Amino acid sequence: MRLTASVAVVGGGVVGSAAALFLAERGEDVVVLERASGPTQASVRNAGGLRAQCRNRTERRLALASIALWRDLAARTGIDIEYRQGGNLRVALAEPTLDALAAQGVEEAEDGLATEIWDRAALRRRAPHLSARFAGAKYCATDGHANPILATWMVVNAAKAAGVRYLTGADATHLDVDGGRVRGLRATAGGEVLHVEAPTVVHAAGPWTAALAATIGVELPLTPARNAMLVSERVPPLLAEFVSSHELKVYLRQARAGQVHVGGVFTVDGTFDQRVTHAEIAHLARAVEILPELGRMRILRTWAGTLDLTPDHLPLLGTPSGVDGYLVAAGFSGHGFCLGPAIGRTVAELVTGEPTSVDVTPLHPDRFAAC
Amino acid sequence: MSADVAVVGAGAAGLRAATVAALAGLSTVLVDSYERSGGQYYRQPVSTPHLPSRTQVEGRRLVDAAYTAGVELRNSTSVWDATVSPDGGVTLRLTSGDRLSTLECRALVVATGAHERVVPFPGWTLPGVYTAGAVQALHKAHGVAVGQRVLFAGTGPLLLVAAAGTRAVEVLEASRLAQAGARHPLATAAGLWRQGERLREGLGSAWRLRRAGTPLRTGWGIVRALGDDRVEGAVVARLDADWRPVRGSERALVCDAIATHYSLVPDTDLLRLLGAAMEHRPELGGWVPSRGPLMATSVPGVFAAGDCTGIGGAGLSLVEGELAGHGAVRHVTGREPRRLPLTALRRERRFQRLYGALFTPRPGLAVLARPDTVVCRCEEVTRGSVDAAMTAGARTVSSVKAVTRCGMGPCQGRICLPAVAQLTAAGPPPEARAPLVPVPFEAVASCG
Repeated sequence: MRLTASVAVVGGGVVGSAAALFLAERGEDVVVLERASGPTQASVRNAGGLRAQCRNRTERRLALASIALWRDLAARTGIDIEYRQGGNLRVALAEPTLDALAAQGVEEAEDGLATEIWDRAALRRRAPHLSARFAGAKYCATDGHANPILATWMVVNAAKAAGVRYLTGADATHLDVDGGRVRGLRATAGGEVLHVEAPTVVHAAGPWTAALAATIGVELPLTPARNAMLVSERVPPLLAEFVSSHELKVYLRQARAGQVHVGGVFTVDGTFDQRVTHAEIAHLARAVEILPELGRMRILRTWAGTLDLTPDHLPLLGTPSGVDGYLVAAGFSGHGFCLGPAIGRTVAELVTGEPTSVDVTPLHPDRFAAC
Repeated sequence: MSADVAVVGAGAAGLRAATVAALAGLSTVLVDSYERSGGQYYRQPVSTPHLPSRTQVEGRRLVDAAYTAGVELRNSTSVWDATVSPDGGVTLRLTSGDRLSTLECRALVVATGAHERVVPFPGWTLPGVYTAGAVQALHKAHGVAVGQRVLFAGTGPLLLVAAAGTRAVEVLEASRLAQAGARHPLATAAGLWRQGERLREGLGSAWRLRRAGTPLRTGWGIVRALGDDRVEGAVVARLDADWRPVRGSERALVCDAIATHYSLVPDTDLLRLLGAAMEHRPELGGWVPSRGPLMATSVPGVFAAGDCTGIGGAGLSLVEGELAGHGAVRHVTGREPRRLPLTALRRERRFQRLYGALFTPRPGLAVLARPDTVVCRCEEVTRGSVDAAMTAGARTVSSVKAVTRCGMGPCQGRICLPAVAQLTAAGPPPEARAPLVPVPFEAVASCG
């Protein structure tokens, strides 16, 4: 089968779908190739955090834009994505950790992001449900969380409604490049070969982006990594905030349905294997050290997703030199869900040649080329 | 803690496998989540003084044989995680109440049995609706009757047997047994060959129902339960060849409880967690492990026997358990088994084929659930939400689960996902992940 489009997007997760949506809204004829029957990987396998605090400057600006876009999309579509602006709380065990957080708060204020530093007493007063062992915390009231499954499907369905064609079960196998320009791609779908002619290809296939990019000589420094999560039984409301500790390497939030989701600030690098090991489960269970109430609950289930890590844990966004029309949006290193809509809009701006709303030149994939 | 052989599930297959291993001189641990060994078919009384039934006496003998052979019985204990060690053994992580422990073994026999398939129909979540197995279990273990006028509906021999032990108002078997038997007389005769005990049990149950004046109708089924706060009646109907209710044949009847049974679904969580290769065999109950000689799965040192490998009943489970026991012994000691029960295996396999031909649920059952009928009880997901998810593009069980949360509650989809699988395209078997049963946070954190 042959088809043509003005933009072909490889990957129907949150980033690819948001890019398709904003491109279609700019009048582009967009086709999305998705290997599975819908978003099944990192877009829906994450903790659902929508956080602007405690980020690198470029990511912070993208996150601020993205959170606004998430709220706007939910309002426009009328879909309940279980968004909750419950705040984000980064707790600190040691005083120096708290000092570093305070310094970061100054930089954040320059970008218009308001945060507060809570000392031990303030933390006890404001979050009495948390363990008393913390020296303090940095709190951002405008951050929050949502249900990543509902939210990602909202973007997919909004893109479809805007006229984007989704080809599911379509596994992209070749990028067609001629004279330094991308001409389209080939995929297999249901045993058939599918040719898509498109002057622009957006590659947003998470950790699977690297293997296909390599076939046209583009080396992307992407490492797959497993991030495991666990979920408690449903319990009465305990926690409005999304809480994380880099010292204990654990983060947690309570979903609207009542389960507490626990994730880890640690990964198992170099694997696509999504089986959760006992060591990971035991590590995640240490969330009881943040929220002692968990000690009275049971772990109901676990799951894992595959992250696409870059050496600096920042995304790869832009056109690698030498392949015009080919735009990479990958390497989100665990931040893709939150950033998805803003990245999608930026991709649309880059494709149509508009000035970008956020300066993303620091994220250009060529930044590692010299190394 | 370690053992040469670990067996999970103390039903017919597990008891027999453990006994074989222990008689061969291997240290053998038999883990079971219930307080009393015996599994479902040989369920032992917990508290009641009433006279044990024939199956309970038989089960007692199997448990005694295991105990005498030196099997270490660990009851009220569940496996929540399992990993294959690099050296070929298996590590089982166990939970018993709030306590966790680890069991290392050189060979593992999985004999986790099966659970009853639940088919959602309007009103199935009302108080007073049970599975026939639960009705029988309450009766066997505690001597409790669930009602004075109980409607039994579904398919499978358990329906008849459970009904015979209670105050049944009607028994509706979806399969047209007599017609099926007449259509395949040779297969039927072969399947029933040397199944005297089963025939006696079946005919005995039918005779008891007849004497009590309870109608037994084949080719009939339940359409919906009636009642506001609890079961007060039911609408039943004749079923077509696909088990779809025939329009115009519906009638209402009064009952105070409903017991359904739509055959069984193999419990394969532990096998899938260990990465055993699976195959889809609807006539065996759904996803079952692929097996080689002596019940070996694709994972070295892991054997599987009994209903968790395909529904076949207690007779087949005993034979398979014996074979799996020999398989485990050979894996650990290298000793070749002598005298395998291969004639019995062939006989029981014929019965298994007959069972599959008669009692495999047919696609018409999927029309019973209406858009507002709850499919997943734990997460309160309706048939309408499942259909909407499928319209939106979710095609496999896992994608429906991801979109609707169907199957994400405490039962982990054991009840609802087989019903969802009837609606979706065939995908790979759902992933199994630890914990297989809920485990306490505190204990897991401190075992880190």
